[in-house]
Amino acid sequence: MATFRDAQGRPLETARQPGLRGWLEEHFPLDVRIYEELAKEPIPRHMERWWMALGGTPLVLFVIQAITGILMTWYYVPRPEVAYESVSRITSQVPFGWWVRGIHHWASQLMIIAVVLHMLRTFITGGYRRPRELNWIIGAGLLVVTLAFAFTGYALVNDQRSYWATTVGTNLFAEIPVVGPIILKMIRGGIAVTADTMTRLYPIHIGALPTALVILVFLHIVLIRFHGVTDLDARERERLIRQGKPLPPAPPPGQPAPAPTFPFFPDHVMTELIIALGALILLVNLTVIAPPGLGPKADPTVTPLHIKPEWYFYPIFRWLKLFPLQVGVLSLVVGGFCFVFWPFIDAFLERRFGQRDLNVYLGVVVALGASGFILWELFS
Amino acid sequence: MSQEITHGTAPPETEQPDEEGKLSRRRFLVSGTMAAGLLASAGVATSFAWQFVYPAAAKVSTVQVLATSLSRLSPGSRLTRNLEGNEIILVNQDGHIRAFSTICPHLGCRVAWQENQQRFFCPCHSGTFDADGKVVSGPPPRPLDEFAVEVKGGSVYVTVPKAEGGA
Repeated sequence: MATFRDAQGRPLETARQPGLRGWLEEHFPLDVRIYEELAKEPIPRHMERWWMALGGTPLVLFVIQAITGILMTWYYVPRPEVAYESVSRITSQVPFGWWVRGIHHWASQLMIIAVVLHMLRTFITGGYRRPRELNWIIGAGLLVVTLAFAFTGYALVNDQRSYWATTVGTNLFAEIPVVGPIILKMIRGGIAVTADTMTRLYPIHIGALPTALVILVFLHIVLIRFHGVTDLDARERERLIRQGKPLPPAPPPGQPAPAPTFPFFPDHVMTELIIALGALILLVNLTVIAPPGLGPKADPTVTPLHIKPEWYFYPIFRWLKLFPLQVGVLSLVVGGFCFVFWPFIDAFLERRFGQRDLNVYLGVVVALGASGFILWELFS
Repeated sequence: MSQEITHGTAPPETEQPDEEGKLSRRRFLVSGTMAAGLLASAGVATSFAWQFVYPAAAKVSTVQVLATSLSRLSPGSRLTRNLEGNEIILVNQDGHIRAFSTICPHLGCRVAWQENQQRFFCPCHSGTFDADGKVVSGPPPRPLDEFAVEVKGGSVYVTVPKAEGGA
């Protein structure tokens, strides 16, 4: 029988391997071995420690947020006159609505904690250094997106805290020089917080931010795979040699040195899964023990006497109480800029002053400072 | 009638090839026209997008509104009123009537008068103002805004901003 060929001389029909694998290779013509190769990528030993494996947790939590978020859009109405009532309906009338909302509420908080811990670990261990500066910036973008998720999310509840947090939070933009008032009007859809504000924040929360997050996560993971994980043990040896300190003792003669790497799959994935499972157990317990309530409906004419934002905004909240408005906002903008571009600042300081451990001290000071501000606000 | 169709040969290519590092006149004109068109389109699109994102701001004028009668505002007392969407606090300071905005000039929360401490207090960032609206403590950058008051025939009128049309 004659074999028919296409313009490039390839046979029109080729025999395929039997079974599902053959079917997949024919219909999705990528070599499965590439995935196997990627999955088994060797990664350094230090990644066995749980605090080194926190990067996957926010992703797991985001998937939970996407599912519970979609479920809530079936009942939520983003119009100020009925938004509060629709949240109330989800919470008290829709079967298991309280549970879906509770999971969404607590997962957002755990997601912020997971992202911050992951960034803190990266910061203190210097994982952002050359050539991974760009991935740090992408990570900083992911933190901003996560916080924006939280801010726009609780703005949609339309209770008193939600309304005044939106007023204060959006007003902060007005203090940014030049572009501030433009951003303010764009977010609010006018000069004041009105019905237009909610109809702008809602699509940002359910459309723009998820899209941004998915793109950034994709880039983040691609860059991690391109660069590989930072070999912290090698860096530590380099530091000891540079400082003229003795290296850790070699294993006794006859005893083999431990392998410097282990496979991504299944070993590291297992660590990630255990952490994610722990987060899920915590999440469900928090939802059952402390389901999110609903404050009084938003009243633009009265700010309640005791009003505070969600706890993760306490450091900014307290900072703004301590300093005059423009100083407070400008210092936050400058601090944010330094945070995003820290890898380059760090490299400059190292070149100029030979300082390599500043990130450790700074990371500890900022973490303790932010925790202190949270506690201060919690008990004041 | 038969018609003979002849296929003429294509006219010779008149465009001269670019000299090294130099644009031919034709290519320059084509590229320039395309760039100008692109720029004009981008300008128009930006203008439309701007109008979409920023709806026409409402025209703000001022209007004098009857707030209360003088008999209801005895010396030392205070009244809260909502005039044309502006929440204000009227104060009678020994016969001198004043009208303060309740919007905190810090970040836009509502201040409230605290009788026992004789001060205006903003709950958001703990800003405090004295009875004259001046900043006593906290981060507010300026005193409370004040509206013009006129007393005519036993009635108190306050001039407040009023939005007309637009978004």
